[in-house]
Amino acid sequence: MREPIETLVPRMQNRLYRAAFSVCRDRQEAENITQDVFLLYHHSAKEFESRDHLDAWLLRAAINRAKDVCRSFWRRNRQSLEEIADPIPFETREDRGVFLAVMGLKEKQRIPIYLFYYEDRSIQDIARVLRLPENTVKSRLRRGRMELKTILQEDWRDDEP
Amino acid sequence: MTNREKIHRAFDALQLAEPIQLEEKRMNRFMPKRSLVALCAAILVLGSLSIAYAADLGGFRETLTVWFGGKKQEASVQEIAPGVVEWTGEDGESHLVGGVAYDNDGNAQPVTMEEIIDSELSGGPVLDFFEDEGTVFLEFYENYVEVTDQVASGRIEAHLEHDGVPYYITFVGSRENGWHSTVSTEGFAP
Repeated sequence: MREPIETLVPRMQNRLYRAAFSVCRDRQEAENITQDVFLLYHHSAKEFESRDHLDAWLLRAAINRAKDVCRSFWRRNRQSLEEIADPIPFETREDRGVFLAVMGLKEKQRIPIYLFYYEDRSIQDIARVLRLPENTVKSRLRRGRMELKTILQEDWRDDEP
Repeated sequence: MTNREKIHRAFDALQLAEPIQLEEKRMNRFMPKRSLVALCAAILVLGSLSIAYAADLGGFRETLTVWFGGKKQEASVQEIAPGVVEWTGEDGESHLVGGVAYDNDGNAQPVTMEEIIDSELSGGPVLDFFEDEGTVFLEFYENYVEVTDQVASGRIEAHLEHDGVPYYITFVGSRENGWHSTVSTEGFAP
């Protein structure tokens, strides 16, 4: 299946933007990456098995692109997490705290945590998107959860296996 | 509230400042892609060095990430002949990579950078070789095998199946000098 670009863009633009941002932590770069991914889709003739397959492909493309672009960008434009979070209109202080805690994780843990909790991706899906063995994804999720528990304390519940 | 709900609330606040506009000018940066060789049914032979890390979207802008000289690095790439790509690493040195894909009838077709990029983006790399926290994995069509202990010997052999077909994968080389990889259904490379 193919989804018309006219419906795909409004449906996925913020999801891809957040995925790219979760990697590179820069709003402008995340926006450029989002646009690039839609352009790639537009020029690709690839057929997808389902909407979920399409979404996973787009997420993977955004994350890969963000890793490439922001690896060099990050070295030149390092901002503090507080500076990164300041322009974002969080509803509560707790939301901001959770955001800072996740974004403060190492990239290896941050991306699996984001995909698992925000994108509701299974471990198998995450392994496919990140091209990692499932056991590696599990261990990174486990370490990420431990870090979040340390940072957020009672605001982080032990509600996952 | 669950952890999942908390992370949803936190990240929902992050939104694009303006909706994405697909400008015709930007679309034209990309050339239409040619039809692809069916790599899935092919025997792939890559020469000169391993394409160790994926040709991500950066490949469209003629950049690759490769593992060469013991480190992952950005490289600019240019297809200089059918099936032959020259890449220049961060140290300014140029290298050649290329190969052919054989279809089910045994017909050889040059592998192009576009085909490599497309295979990477459309369901995982055909062949990948990567290190994760001290453990080296070889990946072939999303099958993984740990090869850490073989790296130091300069020769890595792995026998994996894809779609019921057995493949023999051989890497010869070193982290310092790069790797030559061979994939065959007949046996390991000599």
